[in-house]
Amino acid sequence: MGIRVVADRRRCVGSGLCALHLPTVFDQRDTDGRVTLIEEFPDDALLPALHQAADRCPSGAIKIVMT
Amino acid sequence: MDPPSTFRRLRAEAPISRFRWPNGIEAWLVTRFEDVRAILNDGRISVNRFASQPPSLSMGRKGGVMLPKSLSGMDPPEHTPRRALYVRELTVRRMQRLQPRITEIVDGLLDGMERSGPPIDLVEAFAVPIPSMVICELLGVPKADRGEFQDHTNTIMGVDTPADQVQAATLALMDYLRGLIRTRRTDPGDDILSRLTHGEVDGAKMDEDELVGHAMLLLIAGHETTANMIALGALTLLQHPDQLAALMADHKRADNTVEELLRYHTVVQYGLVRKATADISIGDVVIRQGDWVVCSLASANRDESVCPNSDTFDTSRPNPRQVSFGYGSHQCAGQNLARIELKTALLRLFERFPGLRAERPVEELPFRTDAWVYGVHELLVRW
Repeated sequence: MGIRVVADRRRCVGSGLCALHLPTVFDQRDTDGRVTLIEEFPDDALLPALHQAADRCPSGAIKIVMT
Repeated sequence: MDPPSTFRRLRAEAPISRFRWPNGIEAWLVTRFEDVRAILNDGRISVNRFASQPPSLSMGRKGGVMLPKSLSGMDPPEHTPRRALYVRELTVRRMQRLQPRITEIVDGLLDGMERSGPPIDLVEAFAVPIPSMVICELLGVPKADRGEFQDHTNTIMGVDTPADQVQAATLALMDYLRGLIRTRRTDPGDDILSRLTHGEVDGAKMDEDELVGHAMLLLIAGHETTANMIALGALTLLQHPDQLAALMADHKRADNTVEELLRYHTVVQYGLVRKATADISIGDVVIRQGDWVVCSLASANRDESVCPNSDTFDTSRPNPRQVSFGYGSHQCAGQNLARIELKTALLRLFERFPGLRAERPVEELPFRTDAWVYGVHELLVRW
């Protein structure tokens, strides 16, 4: 059982909230401020924080998938 | 310090309902947190308020200068590439790099307060200048011009300034920015204005009018809002000394404190106006194509179904959900700058003046109940 993070760059509006709260998993591109994934398969311990990141995202660009 | 109590009843009994606004226009009022977010992130919603008259609480908005159309009034496809130009300037990383300069600006103002001695109006001496000086920095306003720039922005923001003076100051500021943009075309610096001037939308550079519009939006969007949050933040911490003490004992609480302040105080107090471009079924209602919809951020922030004891200011709530910056594709592009300004201002203020106290009781303070942006007109303090 593990976690996979899916970040939809086309939906992303560049708020940076994911990068703000979880800089080990999410980053912002310099070209347009949109999301890039640093870690696609983060540790289980980050699950609550990942759910928060998905919730706070203003465009619903982040999905947390249990694999 | 609370939004009107009517919202609580509406959230419970009529969370999405139709009202007639003071200017005669009807609109749906959305009051619950989840519904507000759903509407603001719905693809069938437009922010274009210019085609016909929107619902307005306007009691005569100051200035009356026709500002160039800005990002906040654009839909896709216009909106998307232009927003990209903004958000790349205001990323978390860029704002964190700005931290030392923001601290310098804040400390300089605190030095000024110490030199003047108490009592001081925290609004005028501290809260208002911080965002305006930070914007000057970001826009690359030359140091020699900052005094003039500050004078204009103070005039525009001044509570008692007559309308004609606000208009004159706005036009002067726009003229100044136009001149700066012309300079930057041939002599760019390491700043937002230079990069916007040389940036491209759909393969072409933007014209002067549009660039002036962008510069004014950066200034207007980031000035009154941040200034009022700084003042309200200081006041709220003074009202809750135990939480202030907890914050000063452990600065790691600052991010959470800022987020709770943003939830507790919604400075964009009249809600966000949107128009439905298709029928939208939400809750028990159907919003029809062409209907105006007003999302109350202040009500959403106090929604007890997402935040227990929502009317209590409680900085121990972990990362509270709040919509003060809005939601969806128009969510405030400067929010990470605002967070850093707020955090730095409050920590440095109470570090410098641990004995800070308000001169007057909170019930006697002049709150900005009839301005677009909520806050307090004046906050005299001693230390």
